[in-house]
Amino acid sequence: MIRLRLFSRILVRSVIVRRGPTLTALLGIMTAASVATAMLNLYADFDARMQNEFRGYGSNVIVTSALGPWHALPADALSRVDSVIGSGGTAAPFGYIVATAPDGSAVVVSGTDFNRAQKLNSWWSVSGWPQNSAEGLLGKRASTILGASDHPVTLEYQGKSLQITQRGILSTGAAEESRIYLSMQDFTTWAGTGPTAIEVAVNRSTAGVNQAISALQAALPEAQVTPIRQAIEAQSSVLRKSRAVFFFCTVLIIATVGLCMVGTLTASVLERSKDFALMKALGASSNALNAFFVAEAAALSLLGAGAGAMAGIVIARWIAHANFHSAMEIKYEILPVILLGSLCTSLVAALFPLSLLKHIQPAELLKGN
Amino acid sequence: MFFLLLYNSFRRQRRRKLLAGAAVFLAMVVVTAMIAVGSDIGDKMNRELRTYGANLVIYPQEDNLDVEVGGINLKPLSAGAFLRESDLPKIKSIFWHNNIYGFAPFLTAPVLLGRSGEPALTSVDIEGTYFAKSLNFGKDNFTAGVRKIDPWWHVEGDWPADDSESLMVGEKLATRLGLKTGDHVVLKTEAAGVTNSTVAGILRTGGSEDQGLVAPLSLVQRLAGKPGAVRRVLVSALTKPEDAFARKDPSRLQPQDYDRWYCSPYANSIALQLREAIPHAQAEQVRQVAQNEGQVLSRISGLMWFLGLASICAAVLAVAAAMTTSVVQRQREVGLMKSLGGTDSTIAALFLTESGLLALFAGSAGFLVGALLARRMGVVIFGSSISVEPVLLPVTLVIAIVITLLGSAISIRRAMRFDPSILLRADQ
Repeated sequence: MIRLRLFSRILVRSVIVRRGPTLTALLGIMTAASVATAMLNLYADFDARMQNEFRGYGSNVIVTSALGPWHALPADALSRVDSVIGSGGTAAPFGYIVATAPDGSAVVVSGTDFNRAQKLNSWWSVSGWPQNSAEGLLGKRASTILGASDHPVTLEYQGKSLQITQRGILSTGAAEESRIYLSMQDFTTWAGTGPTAIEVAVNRSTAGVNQAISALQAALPEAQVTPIRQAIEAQSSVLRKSRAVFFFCTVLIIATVGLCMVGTLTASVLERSKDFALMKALGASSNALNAFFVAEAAALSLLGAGAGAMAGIVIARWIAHANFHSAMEIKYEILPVILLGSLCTSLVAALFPLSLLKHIQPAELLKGN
Repeated sequence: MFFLLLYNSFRRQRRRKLLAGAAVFLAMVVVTAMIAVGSDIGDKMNRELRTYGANLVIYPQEDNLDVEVGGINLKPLSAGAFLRESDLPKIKSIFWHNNIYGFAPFLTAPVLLGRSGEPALTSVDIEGTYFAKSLNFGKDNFTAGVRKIDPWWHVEGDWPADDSESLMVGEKLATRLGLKTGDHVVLKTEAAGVTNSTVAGILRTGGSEDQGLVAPLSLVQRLAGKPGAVRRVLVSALTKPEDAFARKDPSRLQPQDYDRWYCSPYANSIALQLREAIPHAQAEQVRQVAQNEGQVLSRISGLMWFLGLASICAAVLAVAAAMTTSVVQRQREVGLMKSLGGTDSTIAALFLTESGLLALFAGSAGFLVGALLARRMGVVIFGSSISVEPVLLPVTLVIAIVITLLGSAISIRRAMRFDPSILLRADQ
């Protein structure tokens, strides 16, 4: 008990008397711990962050009728898809038919849910989304060739005609530019058919997407669930490689800050060699001295690491906000790793100078040689 | 005198110098590797993102509407205009020709397919393209084809040669008809009558190609009776992420802004250059690919920027810690010099010169090892080495000297503040 009180008194006094050097060491440890915490947090959250970015590419799975691309899916297919993917993705239904334009040429007309399509295909550049019945979204080429900007277009399908007013123009640089998009309701009433394809964006890793495909296939046995291979392969290769780069850099940086922690603590112990000698001269045993210095280094590093970890979390949040424009989930399981890591580092850092000081005679040191 | 002191300091305190040098060295390894990787990662990731496929498409100007759903084109071959195959090498004539990663032409025709010696025929689509065709433009030799721009195509068996008569069968079609690699087939069209061919491989793409045939472009042109015709060309280019400036209408820009727009590798400006290079063609960015790669790239390079900052921060810390240690250990030396009449500035100059020299040597070594590390990392992760520009050497050395001087200045100042008698009595 007395020893503990003496120990804590020496510790507190040493901080008060040697405020400058102690603060320098503390600051060094804090910075190191905050850099390490920020890096580990970002690394742990990396996959989730990047997967979000890849969802901009739209669907990675497509559900069509097993009978062929022109056959309608069951009426409840969309709700079944929704219940499988839940909040982990987006799905949009598309129905396709080939109708006849006023000049007799063929044009692909598609019915869709505009809200879902907008969410799924963020790259669609649209001048105005249809709001009312009989309004259509025309692909750029379809609009130019049919002259839809000036007058409504009348389309024919299986003897039924439908007049559409152009509400907006769609540019994508792909096949969509030759199509006319209607609301699903207009489409079903006119063409008498429902969705023929459901495009699904599953917001998960490659393994997660494959799981989702099996689950979708099980929920829709009459449909064909196909992965869009280029989307899945690009995502997995970019993620894998950027994660590798990130991992490598994290290791390098953490190794550097770890080394600098060792340096700082070694310096702070070496500076105390005179105290060491004095205590030894006053009769402290080697073990007690070692325990004291190690405990001091450990206390210092725990304090610094704790404060640094807090600062690191703030930094990581800020980086996530600045770079990914979204809040980050804080991984609190990193905290014990940081504390334990800095404790180990401090032990290494304290033991090295102590082994140097062990053989020194107190008289020699106190005389000032 | 000054140089003698300097020389002796390095000679006598070898171990101490080695420790401080090791810290500078390590810090510079990290900084060099980070800068090298960070400056090259945009390009490397751009290439990875090309897995998504082409980001630009060229089609004939006066073309009518495509009747295409799920990659299956229902438009009759007789309708619409074509591009000329002989114009394709001109893609390499544009200002940004080095940024053209690859391209492939396409022409689709309906054929009747059957096994050799069997009467049953199936109606399928045959798509003609380049696989890996060598082309020349001027002195420039390059390879064009789907093997480069569509890396997700998997072939069981062999890819057909571009000048051969053999073809690939889509996976689903092959299962339906029971075709396998090495089978002999016949192709029947109105224009070319009956043509014999061999199955070189089974193709799996996950797209519409799985249901049809894919063959060399020249074979499909002959089957369709359209020599030299191409329906569309997909171009994969390394582009700069689109910003507000990229979206401007080039026809309304001031001349100097127009030059800047034209000479930036935006998807839009490359599309304009392709339109100019190929007669009667329309070129556009494929927005799904072009828009999103900018997003992904800017996130990755943003992250690398933060990593670079963190590495410099770590380097400053490591060097400052090492320098503090080394100066603290030499406080008595400072006291001795001061009591012998050394002025503050002379002593500071001595210590700073020492640190500077240390930074120079350790920094150069750190640069070398860091460059090697970056190269190795490029090979391991991306399969191609990351080149380190020689201009990075002076940059690294300046960083090394600045952080070493900063790191030692603080502790030298502290050592100077003490009275020499106290320092020498060692009773601080």
